[in-house]
Formats: sequence, structure tokens, C-alpha cells
Amino acid sequence: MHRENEQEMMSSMSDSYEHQSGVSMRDPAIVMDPRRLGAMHQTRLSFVRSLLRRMYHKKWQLNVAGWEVSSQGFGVAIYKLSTPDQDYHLVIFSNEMDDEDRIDRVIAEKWDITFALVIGEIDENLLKQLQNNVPLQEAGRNSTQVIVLARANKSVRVFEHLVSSLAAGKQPDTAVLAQVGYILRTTAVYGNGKFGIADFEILQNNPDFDLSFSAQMCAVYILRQFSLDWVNDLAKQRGGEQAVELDIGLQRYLGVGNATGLGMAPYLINHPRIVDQWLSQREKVIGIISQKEAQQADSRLLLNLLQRARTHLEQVVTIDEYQQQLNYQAVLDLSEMIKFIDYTKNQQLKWERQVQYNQRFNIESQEVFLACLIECYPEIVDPFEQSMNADESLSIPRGTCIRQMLEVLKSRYLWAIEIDFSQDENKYWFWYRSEDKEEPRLGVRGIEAGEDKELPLDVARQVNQLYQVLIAEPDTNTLAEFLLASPQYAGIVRRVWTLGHCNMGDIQMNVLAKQALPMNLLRCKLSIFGATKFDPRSDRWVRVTLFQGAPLMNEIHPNEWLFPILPDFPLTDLSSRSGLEKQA
Amino acid sequence: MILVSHNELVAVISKAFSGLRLLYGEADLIANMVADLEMVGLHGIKHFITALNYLNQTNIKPCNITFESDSEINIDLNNESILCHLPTILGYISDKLLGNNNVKLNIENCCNRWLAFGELCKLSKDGISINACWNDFIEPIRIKYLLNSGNELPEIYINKLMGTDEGEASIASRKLTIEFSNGKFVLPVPSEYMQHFSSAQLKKYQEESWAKGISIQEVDWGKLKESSQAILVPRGKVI
Repeated sequence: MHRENEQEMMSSMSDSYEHQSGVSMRDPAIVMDPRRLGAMHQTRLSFVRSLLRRMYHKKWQLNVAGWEVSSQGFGVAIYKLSTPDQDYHLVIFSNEMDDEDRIDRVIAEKWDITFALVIGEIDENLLKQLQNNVPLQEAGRNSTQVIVLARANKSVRVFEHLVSSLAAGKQPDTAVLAQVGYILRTTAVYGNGKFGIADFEILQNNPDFDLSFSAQMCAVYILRQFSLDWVNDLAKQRGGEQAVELDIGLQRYLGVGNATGLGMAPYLINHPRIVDQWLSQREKVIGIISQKEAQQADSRLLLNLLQRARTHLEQVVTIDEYQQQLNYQAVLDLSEMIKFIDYTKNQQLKWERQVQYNQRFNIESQEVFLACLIECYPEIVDPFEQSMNADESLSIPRGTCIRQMLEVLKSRYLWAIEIDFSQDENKYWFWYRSEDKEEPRLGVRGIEAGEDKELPLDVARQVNQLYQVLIAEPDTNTLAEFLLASPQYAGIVRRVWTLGHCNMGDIQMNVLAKQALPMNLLRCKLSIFGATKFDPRSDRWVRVTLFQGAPLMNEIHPNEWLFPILPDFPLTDLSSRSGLEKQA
Repeated sequence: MILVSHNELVAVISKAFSGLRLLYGEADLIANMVADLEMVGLHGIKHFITALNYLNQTNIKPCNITFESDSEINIDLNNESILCHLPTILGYISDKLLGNNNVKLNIENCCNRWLAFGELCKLSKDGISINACWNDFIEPIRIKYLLNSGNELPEIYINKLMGTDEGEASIASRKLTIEFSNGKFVLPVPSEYMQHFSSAQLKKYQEESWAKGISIQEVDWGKLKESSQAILVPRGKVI
């Protein structure tokens, strides 16, 4: 039996506030807390999900347009993607390489697979150009006909196991697949003008890829199809008549891996309005759904999803002990949350009450619950996918005075103002770019060299300094007057004013602090992309999967595929049946 | 020649500027000022490469207001590039236009005036009309950017300076004069000028730059890349 707790209700009320949109959202101090950002999961709003819905609704077609792959798996494959408006091609080069060259960091110079998504047709000249440049990645130059440039490495274990099993007429050991979850893992997926390819600006009027990162997600989705076709083809080439195709359920279970390191973290600091937009749209959705009565919801779907999430978390294999504990605890927490759903429904309460009840549990399980809840309201959520692009400009309205700025600082940036930067632990790290392919890295201040080239990612410290300076100024003076005399504060002033008026605003994190975890930033962005199976390999890089559990191209649908789990089939029966069928 | 994307250009300039470690100037704004000019074919990169010399040597200071009334302001930039100061100066002027319909800004002793282009375009989009004039530092020509409120791109007029003495004197002054108005400026007759780049021409060039990439000389790209390396830290060093 659960009792309403007046104190909790009060706390819930103070944790949310009304925004310009009229939707009541959670307080930015809750949402933009890096620990919560570091517990986010894929939702219906994630880019992989909106892409697949668009593919379904607009009836996109995918065909193999060229396949010259040797029995070792090396060569070229070309996929043609047709939409009602345009044809595209994903050109994939599979290269031979030594095992010792297979590294996931940006400093690598060789990869198993390199690929490019191209607008329009591929003629001989273009193919030659691509052949000469795509395998070089950063060292090559590409034209604006290319909209995505990327590379991937094999999970050698899964690849070899799949090909040898299938060639021998057997389905693979699901335990091997569960440990990894993919055949190929991308180590960089470049869009928006990198190394000469098309700027995102010119895709803004493209009805297929006008949403941020949708072209990159599409390239990865087609790569997943390639990885499945690849192992099936190689098994066939090696096993001949004896070979079997990978079980459809297992095909669906395999996604594309991704290894992401520190390089992603500066993006979130340097593009604050994009992050605000993503999180604000998500919070609007949560705000609207929270006002819905639980009784009227499809609770069977919600319960199924929560149970699936528990199974997913139980199946996730990670070497990170802390993440293991979080997953273990989340599985327990979720069963408690499930029990409370009956109460929420029977008392005819809104989801707001359940969300507030969930606050007693770990953030990980709270975020899992929200991801599942969001899934139950597609009619509310799906229109928001059109609002995920952001205007990145930072500006100050004419005539703004220092008093107004101080009000913004006190109301939205207390988290930064209250940090004591005279303490070493609050400025422990400095961020820099290494000579190694300009890879962003962290150095310990005073110990490692490079502080003189520190990247200006220290938003909290800059805000803190700005506040100290502004409180000493006459507060009726305008910001324009202040900046004319002190132009060094111009950047942070524009940022604070703009983000201070956004729904969620800046990530509330001092990235210089000794205890700061860049992993939280990585996970935030990856979950917005739609990643699953978070497997931190250290506090600075993480492996995830994209499109794991997603429908295959020939069965694409707009429905949910949240929290992928291993398909439920008895392995030995299936493999022996498959063999018998072949013999018959 | 090499074709580069807008994002690539902005990234490399931003890094090159950051590598100077100057106290003032916002790398992202400055990179966009350069790219905005380059995208319309007016040699933003060449101007930035020239600017790197001034920026490198500069003993940078806040700008010095030498005269100010309700409708006019004189600022001395002490032979510094406008890159580090123009955005804040324009913010100040925008405020002044709240109380006056017309404001004249005279920036004395400043460099890289072509690069004012992008920031002036932004101001025009915000509803302010602009008439900017200066005499070129190398050639005896006078350049005028004219933007009426709401215009995305300016009309650009270029004329030869007539007398040699006049030319030399005005070149040496390194002055940029900008009239701002809440109203509209009357467009001059193009035939009265030696050269006229219409906003339509600039727009066409800009669209091609987006679609095909920005064509720049490899030597210039090399210089930018080299400058952008200044922010990089050699691997594995301990103090």
C-alpha cells in the first residue's frame, strides 16, 4: 500500500516550473545535472528513431547496387537508397589490415571499413575519387556530393564466429553476440563539411536529411544492413550449400557499435543551444505526458517496456563495475516502480505523481522509466522530432543593463557562481588539443604541459569571474557599455544571457573539477542519437550500439524497438533444425 | 586551388585565432566574419591572413572613445584590427540607436576593414540600415557597403580616389566611417561608381560556395592550417 506524502508533493511542485511554452517542465537544475545527463537512454525522440519513422512514412527503398567482395571480405559494396525526392548511395570499402592497426581512437590511420554517403549517382570518375579518398578519411579530400564520411572496425570475435558458424550451417552462440551486440563499430562518423564534404546548411532544404544528424544516422543504419549482408555472403562463399543465413531475430538484435571518447565532450560545451534544444524538447514531452492520467494510458505497453528494460539491463555486458552496479540497482528499482503503477492508476493520478515517486530511486532507473513512458504517447512525442534542430546564435537584446544580467546569473547560474575556484580541486583539469590528430584531451593542471594552450571550455569558471566583476559595476549601466571597456567578457556575456533565457540552458557542470566525469557528456549526446548498451571502457570513452533491435530494411516500421534484448529462441534446437532442413 | 567547406573554414580560422591567445576577440565570431566575406568571393581569407600580422604584433587594449555625442562617436583603435573590437562596438551603437534615429561612427586607426562585412550584415538583419565607407590601404579606392534594414547582403560600390594627394592622405588615415540609421538610405546610382557588386551577385556567389565548396588557393589554406596548429600540445609532456 502506498500513501501520498504531502512533503513529497510539495517538493515535486517546487522542482518544476512553467516555461514560455506553457508546458510545465522539470527544473533545469534537475535536468541539466550531469549525473542525470549521464543516465539518459534512447527515447522515441532520439535521432535513430525519427530516422526510421521517416524511412517508413516516406517509403524509402534500399537496394544493393554493387557488390565486389572477396571471400576474405575485402572489396567494395554500394547500396542505393531511394526516397521520393532523391537517390543516394552508400559506398563501402572493406580493407585488409593487421590486427595491431585496429584501434578505435581518432589517432588511428587504418580501418577495416571506410564509407561515404553520397547524393545522386555514382559514375566511374566519382567512384575513383571516392576510392582514392574515403579510405584515407581525414587525410583525404572529398566533394560536396558526399554528405557523410565514416569508418568502422570489426568485432573480430563476432565476425569470425558468425561467418564460421553460418558457413558450417549453424546459428551462432547467442552468448557471443550478447557480449558485443554488433559486427562493426564505427569510430568516427563525420558530417557537416568535414574534410570537404557538404555543409549541413545545404541539407536544411533537403526533405530527407534536414534534421540534425539524420544523414549520419542513415549512413550507420545502412552500414548495419551491410554488416549483416556481409557475414551472410561470406558464409555462403565459404560454406556453399551447407551455409545458412543468420536468423532474422539475431539479425535484428545486432546493431552497429560505436566507440566514443573525449572528442565528443567539447561539442556539448561548444554548442550549448543545440544541447538546450534537445533537452528542452524532451522535457516538453515529459511535461505534457506528466499531466496525463495514468488510468487512460496503455499500461500493458508500459509494463512490457519496463520488463524489457529490466531484461536489457540484465543482459548488458560491461567491464565497468560502477555501470554494472547501476544496472543491477536499476533492475531492482524498476520492479518497485512497476508496483507503484497500479497505485497511480487506481488513484486516478497523473503520471506526474509516478515520476515524483520515482525520485526516491537511482537516476538510472528514473531515466529508464521516462524512456518507457514517452514510448506510450507517440501522438504527443512524434511531432517534436521536427523541433530538434537549433538556432545556435548567442545574443544580447539592445539596452540590456547589468542589473538584468545579474538577475539571470543569480537565477540560472548559481551552480557556477557558488564554486570556489581558489580551491585546486575545482580547477584540477585543463582541456587541450593534442598534436595527435587534434584529439581533445585532459591534462592535470600544474603537472602536465599544455596549460598555456587550454581550450576555453571552462564555462563555470568564466561565469564565476563574470559575476565577480559585474557585482562591482553600477547596475544601471548597460552591458554594451561594460563590454566596450571589458571586451574579454563578450563571449560569456552573450552565452549567459542567451542560455539563461532558454528552457534548460547550460549543462550545469564544471568540467575543470577533479570529480567531473566527461562520460556523462558523452552519454547525453549518444542517448539523444539513440544509442543503447552503454559500456564505459574508462571514465573517458564508452562503447555503445546503434540500431540494436531496430527493424531490418525490409520490415521497417514506425513502432517502438526500445531496449533491445536477445531474441528468445532455444539455440541448440534452432541450429540443429537449421542443419536438418539443409540436409533434407 | 582547393575546395573547402564553410564549416571547415570556420573551424580552421577559429583555431588560428585561438592560437594567438589574445585577451580580446571571440574566435567563433571572427571566424564567421572571415567566412562570410569569403563566401561572397571578397577574399576574406586573404584579409584574415593579413590580419594575422596585425593581431600577432598587437599590444591589445580596449578601444578608446575620443569623442561622443548623442549622434556621433569617434573611436581610436590604435592601429589594431577591427576583428577583436567590432562586435562590441556595434553592440554599443545598437544601444545608442534606441534613443537616436541616426548615429555616425568614426573608427580611427583601424585595420582589416573589409572584414566588417559579416557583422554589418547581421545588424541590418536586426533592422538597422548601414552605410559604411573607407579608403583602401593599398589602392587609391574608396569602398562603400550599403545595407538597408532587413537586407541580407549589401550593395558594394567602389570608386577611384581622384587626386593623388587626397588618395595618399586618406589611405594613411586608416579610418572607417559607418552611418547607422533606423530609417533607410537612398541607394546611389551604380553608374557613378567604378565598380558595383550588387547584393544579387553576392548572393549568387554565396549560394555557389555553399553548394560546391569555397575555392581557395592551396598556399592560403596551408597558411591557415599552419596557424591553426598553434593551439596544439605536443604529446606526452610533463612540466
